[in-house]
Amino acid sequence: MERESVCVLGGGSTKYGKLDDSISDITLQASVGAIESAGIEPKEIQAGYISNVFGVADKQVHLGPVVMSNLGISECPSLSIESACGSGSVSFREAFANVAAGFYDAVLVTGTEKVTHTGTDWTTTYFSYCSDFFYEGQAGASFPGLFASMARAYLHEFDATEEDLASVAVKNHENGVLNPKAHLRKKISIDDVMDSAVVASPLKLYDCCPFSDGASSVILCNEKFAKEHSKDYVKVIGSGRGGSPAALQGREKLTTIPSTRIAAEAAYKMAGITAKDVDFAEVHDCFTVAEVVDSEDLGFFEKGTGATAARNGETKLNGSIPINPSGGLKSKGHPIGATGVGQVVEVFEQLTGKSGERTVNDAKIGLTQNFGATGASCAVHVLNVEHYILQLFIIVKNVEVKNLKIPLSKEQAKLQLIR
Amino acid sequence: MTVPPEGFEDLAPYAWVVMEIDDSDIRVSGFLPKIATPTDLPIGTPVKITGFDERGIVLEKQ
Repeated sequence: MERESVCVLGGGSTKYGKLDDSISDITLQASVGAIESAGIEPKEIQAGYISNVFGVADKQVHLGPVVMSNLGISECPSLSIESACGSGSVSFREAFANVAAGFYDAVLVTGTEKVTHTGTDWTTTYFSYCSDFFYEGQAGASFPGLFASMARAYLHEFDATEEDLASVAVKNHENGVLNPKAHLRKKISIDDVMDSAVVASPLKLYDCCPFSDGASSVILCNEKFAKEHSKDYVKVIGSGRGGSPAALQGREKLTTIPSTRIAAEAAYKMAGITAKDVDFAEVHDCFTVAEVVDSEDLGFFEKGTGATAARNGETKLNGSIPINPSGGLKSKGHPIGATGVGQVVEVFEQLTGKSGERTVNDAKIGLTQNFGATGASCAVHVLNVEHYILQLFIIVKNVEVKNLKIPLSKEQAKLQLIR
Repeated sequence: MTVPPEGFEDLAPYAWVVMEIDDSDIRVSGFLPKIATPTDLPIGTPVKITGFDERGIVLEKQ
């Protein structure tokens, strides 16, 4: 069966952090942002995919029909999706599959979470329900404890140090400072990380992402719809999903996440690319060790070398493979139902010249990787822009007064070059 | 676990561990009380099962 080309036409996000508005309100705000970014009317949306994990914390589950009603399209069908911290990317994948199959021309994908008002104890306890609770949560292993097990195994098996892991946090905070919607916009040093309180050795407070509220949304559509509505669209050229044993005890190794490798292989195959073709990535860095393991499982670095690569700056904005230009979960924040969609918003904005100071230069292909729990489920997506960014520096008397980035289609880019 | 989750405050310090059963490829996880620092439990430390309760498998160092 031939697939429709699927495109991201627009994206919107609330700020991530501690938000006062209700979950219904922030879900609506992000959705409206995506609709406006896409330049469409709500009535053009044919289905909604809403990802959320703990709606119960803000007394609202079954968010699909709520957001559709609030958008004035109550008769539009919707689906509410939960897959722990990977809910957003699973939701995106389901929407992708339905547009690719030709069921819909244009759909809304919104991820949302509101938990900070419940406090750390409640949130930690409820999040532990996303693990294989019988073997893990019930036995006193919170997520910091589970990822600490992975970190200890990594440091034991490979030539890496706790400072190497800390360099991931430092880099992501550097990026997050450049992101106006990030939760923790504060530069930190290796010493700050090393001196922060131990949560579960070897992970310290600054190795851990925060609990965040937030919502992110995108409009997905087929290419015909995209061309009719906007020149600023990005193609989804690869999509893959994978699974791992839910409990860590079921895995052959603690230094790799099988679901990531499976999902990446499928996404690369669909896109017809390899890891070497990816210009930047938004990955699931719930803890610093997770980003290191992700960077290896996605094929950016050989197994056991991801920590060294991070220490050497290869994943910085100007590195060989920039990772988490948004600040990642570590600095941008982790509203768990929204995170996977937020990654797509970041890639969309990067590839359409809307990322400001944190723009990855000359990027054409961006990747998202978002998993649930300790990687029991994972989805990877590859996005590609086929147009070009015209960057204009307006200089007056040797002083740069304006730096404009204008997305152009291939045809427009040719015309500009002729002129 | 230095910062234990709710309900485990009185049991800290402890370790949650993944162990491999001798002469097999089978791994199981369990609860090991009174482990305050990583130096108290280097990777490779032999452990044995001493019981099973609401925490799951309970272990001690051999």
